[in-house]
Amino acid sequence: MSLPEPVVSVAGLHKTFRLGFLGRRRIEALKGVDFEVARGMIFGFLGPNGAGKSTTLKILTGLLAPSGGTAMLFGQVPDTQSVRRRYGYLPENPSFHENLTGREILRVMASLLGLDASTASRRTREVLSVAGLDRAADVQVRRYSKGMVQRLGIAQALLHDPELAILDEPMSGLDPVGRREVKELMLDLRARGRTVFFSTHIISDVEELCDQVVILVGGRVTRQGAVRDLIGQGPKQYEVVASGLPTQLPVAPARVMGDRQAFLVPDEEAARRLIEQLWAAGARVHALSVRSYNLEELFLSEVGKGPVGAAVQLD
Amino acid sequence: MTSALRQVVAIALMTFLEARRNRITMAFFFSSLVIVVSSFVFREVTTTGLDVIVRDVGLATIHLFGLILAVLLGSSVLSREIERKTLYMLITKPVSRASFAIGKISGVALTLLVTLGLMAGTFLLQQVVFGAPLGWILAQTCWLLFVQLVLVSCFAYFVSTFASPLVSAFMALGLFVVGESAGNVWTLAEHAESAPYRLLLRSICYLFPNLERMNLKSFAQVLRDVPGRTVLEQSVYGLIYIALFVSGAVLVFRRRDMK
Repeated sequence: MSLPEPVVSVAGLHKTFRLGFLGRRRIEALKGVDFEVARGMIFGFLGPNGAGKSTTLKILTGLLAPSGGTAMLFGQVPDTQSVRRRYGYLPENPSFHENLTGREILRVMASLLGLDASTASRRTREVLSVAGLDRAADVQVRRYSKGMVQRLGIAQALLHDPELAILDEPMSGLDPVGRREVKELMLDLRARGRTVFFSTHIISDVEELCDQVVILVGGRVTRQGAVRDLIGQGPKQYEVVASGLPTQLPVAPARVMGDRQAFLVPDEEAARRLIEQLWAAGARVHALSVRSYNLEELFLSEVGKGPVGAAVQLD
Repeated sequence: MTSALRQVVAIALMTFLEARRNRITMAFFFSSLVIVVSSFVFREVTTTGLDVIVRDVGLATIHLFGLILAVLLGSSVLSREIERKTLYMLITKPVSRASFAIGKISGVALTLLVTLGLMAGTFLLQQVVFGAPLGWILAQTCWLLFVQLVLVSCFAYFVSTFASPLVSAFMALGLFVVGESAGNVWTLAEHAESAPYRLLLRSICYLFPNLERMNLKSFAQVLRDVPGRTVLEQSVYGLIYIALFVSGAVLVFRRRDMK
């Protein structure tokens, strides 16, 4: 039995931008990116600003040509009309023709998507409602707030109920209510068998929503896999919480909570030795616990900032 | 209607609607109408025939404001889409870049058609109100001015696919000046003593469209008729250049990276 074809497949993807008058300055935005997105999942594309997330998405949607490697959607090159009918795309910080109303813009999009008049009208109503723009549908976009523009961007991406939603920073510019609605929308899409591929630099969104994640740093994939597995991959740490410590501590605490202080050590043996030192100094030990890396710590270690609260090295 | 044609029409109508609601476009349009309508004041200050002056001022106003609009729209319609990234959501739909590029410039042509049509209509109405004689030449002149301005706009559009809006606007104005002076340039070439200079001037004449051929204002001023065949020939001549510039724009735009 053959495996189902991935919805998105990227292999050895390179992109170099040539800048300056004669194009002599080169910026290598992508340095051999590989990953695949399977059908029916929420896939997170995580990376710091300038990591190459938007560049990858632009190549996948045909806005940019790759300098090397391949980027395929549904097993085909993305720059064909048959493929474009199957996905919806929300760019980062979307912008619209500001003298048109939200409804007029969606009508144009429906024409480009080849929807017939009745389907276009029905879907326009539906996505305006889903995006919470029913009452602003006939207002010119120049009067929209940033959050409303973002909502209209999401509405146009979902207008034809695509199999794949490619969303570049979908929660950007939204208030907490809007963010919650978009998250619910993404979960609903997955429940209906659709695939959601979204980029973000907000780690909690990935932890909350994603089945799989790729971490992109400096144009290279540094980690990829199921979120749960990635967190499990990180080194474990032992946390010792104590109080009544002498002024001269044997080690520096990772954090202070009132009269209690927490110490992080890398292994069990180090934890045992730390507890003995604390007892010998007259301190009271309240807790010893094992902590796994969370995604934020993993992400920060990938981008070279180190985990939150460095582990204590005991001599 | 085929799918591609429907898409071109949708993009053209969107471009027209956007231009129609644009305050700058509207300000230009209403200013030109005011000048066309108020040209009768020359009756008070001229010793020449009123009809001639009013026709002259009216057509010159239509031409000048049409030119400004053509250059402004042609040079900015695509670059604004790229700069503001409004096209990201349009060209990632199942529409070819060729259809998108043709749709945008068709929208500009439609805007010019409606704007010049309203200015020309106002001008002709003014002629009727003042009891000035009318002739086919007035409609023919307005039509060829429209073809000429669409040509200039398409050139600005073509240049804007690889240069900034400012550069494309200046280049389009340059094309207009050279094109409107084609007759003088040819005469200069005929009288040039230096062979390289003569070659240069003749090259300019062959390379640049002769926009003077599409300017019948001197005939309209004195209501001298021009054969319909001549108008048809000049229209086809203009359309050939329009097709060339639009094809060039499509070729460049299809290969362009959207950074």
